[in-house]
Amino acid sequence: MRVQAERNEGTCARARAPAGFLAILALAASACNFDVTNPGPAQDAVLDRAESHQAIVVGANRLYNDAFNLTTILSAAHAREVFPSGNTGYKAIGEFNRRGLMPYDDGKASGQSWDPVQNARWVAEAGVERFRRVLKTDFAKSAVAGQSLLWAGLSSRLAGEHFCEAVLDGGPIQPRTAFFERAEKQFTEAIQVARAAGKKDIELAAVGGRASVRMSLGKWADAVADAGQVPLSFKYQTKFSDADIDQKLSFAFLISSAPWRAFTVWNTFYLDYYTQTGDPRTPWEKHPTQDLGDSGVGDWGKVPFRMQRKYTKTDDAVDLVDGREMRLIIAESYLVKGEWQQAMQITNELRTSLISRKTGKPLEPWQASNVEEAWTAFFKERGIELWLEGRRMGDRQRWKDTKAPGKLTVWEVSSTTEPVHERGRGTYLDPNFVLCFPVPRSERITNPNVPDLP
Amino acid sequence: MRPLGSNSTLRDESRLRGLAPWVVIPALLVVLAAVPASAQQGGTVTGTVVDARTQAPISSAQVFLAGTGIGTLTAANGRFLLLDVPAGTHEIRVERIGYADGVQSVTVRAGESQAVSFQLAEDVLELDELVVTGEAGAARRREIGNTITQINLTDVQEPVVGLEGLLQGRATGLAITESGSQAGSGAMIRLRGNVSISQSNTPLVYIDGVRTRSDPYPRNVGPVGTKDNRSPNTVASPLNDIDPSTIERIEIIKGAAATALYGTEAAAGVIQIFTKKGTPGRTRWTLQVDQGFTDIQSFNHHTDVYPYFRTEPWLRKGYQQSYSLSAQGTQAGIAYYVSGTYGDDDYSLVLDNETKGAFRVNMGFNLLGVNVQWNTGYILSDITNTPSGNNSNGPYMNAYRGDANYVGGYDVEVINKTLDLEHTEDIERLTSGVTLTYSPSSAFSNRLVFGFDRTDMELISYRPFGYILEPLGARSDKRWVGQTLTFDYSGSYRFDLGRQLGATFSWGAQTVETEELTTHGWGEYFPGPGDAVVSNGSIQLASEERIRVINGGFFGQVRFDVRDRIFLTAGLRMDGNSAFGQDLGLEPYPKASLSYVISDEAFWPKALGTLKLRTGYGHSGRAPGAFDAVRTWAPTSLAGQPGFIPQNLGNPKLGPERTAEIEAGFDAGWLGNRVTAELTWYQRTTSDALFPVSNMPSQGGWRSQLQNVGKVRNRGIELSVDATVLESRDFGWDLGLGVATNHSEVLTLGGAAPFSVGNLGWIREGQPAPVIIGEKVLNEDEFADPKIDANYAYGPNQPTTIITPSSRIRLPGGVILSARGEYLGGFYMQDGPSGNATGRSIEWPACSRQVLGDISKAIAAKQLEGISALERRRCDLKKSQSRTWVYPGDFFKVRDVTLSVPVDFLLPWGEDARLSLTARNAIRWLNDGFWAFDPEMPGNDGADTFVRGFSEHVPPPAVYTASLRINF
Repeated sequence: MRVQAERNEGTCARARAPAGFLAILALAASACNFDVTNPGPAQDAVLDRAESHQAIVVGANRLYNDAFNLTTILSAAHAREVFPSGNTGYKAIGEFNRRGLMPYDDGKASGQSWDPVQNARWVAEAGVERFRRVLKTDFAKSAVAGQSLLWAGLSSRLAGEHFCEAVLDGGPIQPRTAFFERAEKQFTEAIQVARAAGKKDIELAAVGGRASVRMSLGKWADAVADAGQVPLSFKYQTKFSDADIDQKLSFAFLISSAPWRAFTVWNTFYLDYYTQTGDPRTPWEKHPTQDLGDSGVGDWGKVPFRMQRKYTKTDDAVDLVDGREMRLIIAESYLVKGEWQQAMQITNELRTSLISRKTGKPLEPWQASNVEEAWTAFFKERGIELWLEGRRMGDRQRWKDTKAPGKLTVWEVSSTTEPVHERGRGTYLDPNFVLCFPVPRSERITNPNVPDLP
Repeated sequence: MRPLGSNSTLRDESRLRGLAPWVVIPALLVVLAAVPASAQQGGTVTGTVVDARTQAPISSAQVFLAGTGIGTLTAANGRFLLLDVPAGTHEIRVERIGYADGVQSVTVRAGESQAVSFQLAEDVLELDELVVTGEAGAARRREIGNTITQINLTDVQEPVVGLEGLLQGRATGLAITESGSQAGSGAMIRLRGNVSISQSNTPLVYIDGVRTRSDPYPRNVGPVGTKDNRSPNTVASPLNDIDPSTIERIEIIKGAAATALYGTEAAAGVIQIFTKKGTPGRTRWTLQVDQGFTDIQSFNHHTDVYPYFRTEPWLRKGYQQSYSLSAQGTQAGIAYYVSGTYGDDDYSLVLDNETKGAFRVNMGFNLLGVNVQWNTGYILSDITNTPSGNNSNGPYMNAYRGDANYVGGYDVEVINKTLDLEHTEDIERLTSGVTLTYSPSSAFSNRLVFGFDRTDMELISYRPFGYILEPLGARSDKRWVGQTLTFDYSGSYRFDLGRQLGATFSWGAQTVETEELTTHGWGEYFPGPGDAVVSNGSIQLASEERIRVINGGFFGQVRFDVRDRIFLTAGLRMDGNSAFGQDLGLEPYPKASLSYVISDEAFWPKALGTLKLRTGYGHSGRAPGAFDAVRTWAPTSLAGQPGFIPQNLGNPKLGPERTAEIEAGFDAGWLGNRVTAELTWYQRTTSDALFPVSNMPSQGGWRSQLQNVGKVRNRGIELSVDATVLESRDFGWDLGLGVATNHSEVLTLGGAAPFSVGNLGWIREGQPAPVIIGEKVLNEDEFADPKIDANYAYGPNQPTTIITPSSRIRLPGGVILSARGEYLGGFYMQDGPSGNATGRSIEWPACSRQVLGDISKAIAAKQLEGISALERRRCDLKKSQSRTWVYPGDFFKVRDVTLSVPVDFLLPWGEDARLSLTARNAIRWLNDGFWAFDPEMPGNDGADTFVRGFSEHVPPPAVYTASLRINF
């Protein structure tokens, strides 16, 4: 692929050199040949060619991964799926996010999560529109079109689950449900195209994705109808890579002690939970040589470093759509209707299908005797099932918005099995911590339809 | 600190240590020995050259017999000796910059000696001196309507160890902030501040008319793309490749009014370097030996504890040595200058070393009426760097981070293990140019230059198997080639339009083609111990990048002169560039200037001295990058699958920035030129400024696109005054003072949104470019809770005031004591290491009065008595953030103090010998608000960045040098 920054040969003809200086004209002519071919980056037209189409899809996947890495580490900290224990810089939990804050203007022009999420969404959608234009009638049965629609839908879902409000394509601010509605349309078209293309995995992933956004929109009947189509064993994942640092899975890379130990399971619900239950979904362990994080956490100083082991390698895959999540959608639909027994049954069926790493036996079922207890158990179970998949903060905000009954786990949980930390007392979360990220200045100062804040 | 001593280089065997001085210098001798000695029979001419007013001897004056090829340079005592002068009557001439020429007739008889003495009159304004920079061919100073600074190396007393140090404080409007703590590191050079927001602000550099690379070399950044950035975080500068001992003079032009004929890429100014040429007469040898060492000064300016912030085990006094030998003369009609230099410099950072060999051969001769000048310089440089800056694999960052570092705590033995990370840069550079000058008559001249500048670099970053922070090891090997080809033709024809009116037409055409090739290999996870190459890695990656840009154009210029005192010049350059958008044609750059030597008028009272009035107006530009105009998609990958992601939106109308500048001023001399002054006011406006206009994130993909939308203005004054306070045969005292101001303002963003340019720098309408925006404690000196402005506009990041005093005292016996100082003020910068540390709740020396971190501990315990609001914010480990660590950057440094003593008596076989003792940057003053480190400490991208701030490096050291120079 080559890029030509070509100059118009005619431009030199427009130049008028002093008459009589023929030698100068000759020299001038030699000075006017600006044709240069620089290889490397691809011109836009190259992407119209069929040979490039799969690479467009891969690019959309790559940008989804980038957005996932940059966003979900922050939301995991806000939701206290993890606790900060080190580096606040590259791809890590920033100084404000450590305390659960996402300032509207932290002095950086770019929204550190908004921009990459919007980028992932836009690029996937641009791929869809390119395929629609280039493939014409073949679009409706194109595998690459179906894949692009799926990435567009997943990116829109990622946005909806993280941001307080939505902005689309330079338009005005809308409720964040606009992201879910867009995702619903994208998943719907992806289902149709993938089905026509015979791509069953894409179709099921889109169905599952649509189930999750319909749930977020409160369209419970539609959500349950979709969820019921996805087999329990089905998974659609995004694969990370060790090829370079940008492709590594941050949840693994940032704790690899090379050199960072940026977050810990210490001071979260999951520390004691795993110790007590051996639930294979929430494993963690001590580092063989490093007992503390790589830098201090405010006036708490260095805190114990306990590594999550859900992802053990930096090229692990992350679940995006999972049949087990679909069962939880169905369970939650029962809770919403107040039918907590059915919800508990589904929830515990999922739970007891797993073998404890501590006892070697199935996990103990949750117990509930009323709807509130059932919600409480459900909150935990969904948090355990989807731990470190970038979903928890959105769930918490959704349950807060819908005023779901039940008790959420407290934000920071002092371990009963770990030594008491010298300075880590009370909570490190700021009282004004947030569960969704605001539209940042990077959008407000560039988008005329979104006013800047005073 | 560690004692003096050379470090153990990381290479198995340096290329240059094999080229020790006893290899290089004898080779030079052999070359020169091949030149046949003169066998002519004749007489000799001896004599002295002195200042007509003071009778002080004049050194380095060129003495020659016109038309014979016989000549020499005067020694420090002003004496000269011409051997083998043919019998007969000759015209003997003496030329020296700063003096009017001397001419006498001398009659020589075979076997006899003739004595001649010259008394040269000072010509401090040098109105008849020829300068070439910014002109179509050479022009006399009196003809030029712009200010041009010329630095003559014969006037420089201290041993010059680098080009950047040489320029420092010697030209008004020139700001050089150095970063000399690391081997190979380059300084930031700005002429009249920043001219561009998005493009290079480094002036163009020409060596003997050949365009050479001036932008920094690539950084020895780890590996492919953004992978694993474990770098020394310094950037080598091409200017360091230039052997200062080979420089004859430097001409500096500062703005578009003067650089118009250089076209699209010259808006940031031009530096022309002229190397030494052959002199008439016998071979004259110069041997120079320099020995010195570096010495780091305290970092902590806010409190008295931990002066080196725990880095003492990794600091040292770096031993520096340099040897150079040169010869110049004329034999067989070939005027030659040949030199060789070998240097081996340790730096204050524990592994930093640069070993360099530089060679130059300049030859000039006449061929069929065409004057041919062929100049070639060649350097080999091996640089070793310590991992430094914001690098968790380096000793300094781990020392700064104390117990919260990346190796498990502050343990010297453990941190020492990070030194197994090897960073090396090998540079090989060849710069060669041929200049053909053909002048069929005194009125008609033509000059043709072919030039070639090529640099080959290998940059290696290597963590061996078993490395403390990468147990399986990793290696990066980057090969970079940069090449610049110059073709430059210019001609001029002068004719008279009457008795009092003349005109000179000039014309020319140039092309400059630059190419860069980067190939990069990366391998990680080695199977076992041993010396690994990239191929040993179980994961291997490679990348390749090729960029080629052509810039070319032609110009015409006419200069009318009235009675040799009024000069009106008008010119136009038309320029094209391969990086322009498709819709853009050739770009015109006009210029006009007026010079009036009013003191030549009969009505001018002699008591008012010499005065030249001048004004100039012109346009220049800066081209966008090679790919900026084109919509492109970047190749990427995911888990081995190829992909495309957006790279550049593209803009078919993209063109160069256009900088228009007007300047006006005067050059004056009073009291018989004992006091001279230059004053210049300038205003420079860059329109169509290339701004990276941010796209709405919700429109995704294209993060920003360069657009010609902005408008930025710089204006200021430049004043230089030189005065001879005392002058006699044995005693003299010269004082100099330069004052320059530069105030920038973003006049419009063209509808674009304000945007960040890093290191807390922002581009905002009505503010300097860039302005530092950070958190400000409004009541910083009060003993009270801090009042915060979260987005405070501190002010400019570039110095707005530069003051350069100098003094030169000449004592009996030829002893000279000289000193130069430099004040840079009116700017702000971010202290990265302090903010990064306190933001991580690290007990910080600058927050410590008695014991480490006691201020922070008192704040945590709410014992706030005696703790200022600023300390309460910065040292509160729960609330401190990096945006609060912004300092006023004002500083004054005594750039050099030199005592220079003739030691001829030690070397009876030499013509003259001089010993110089120099201390550089040994004395400094910082603003009280500058809590830690040094304003000249670089950031992760080196010193030459648009927004200056600093990362976890160490400050540049003081350097002490003893230098012995012998001419024979």
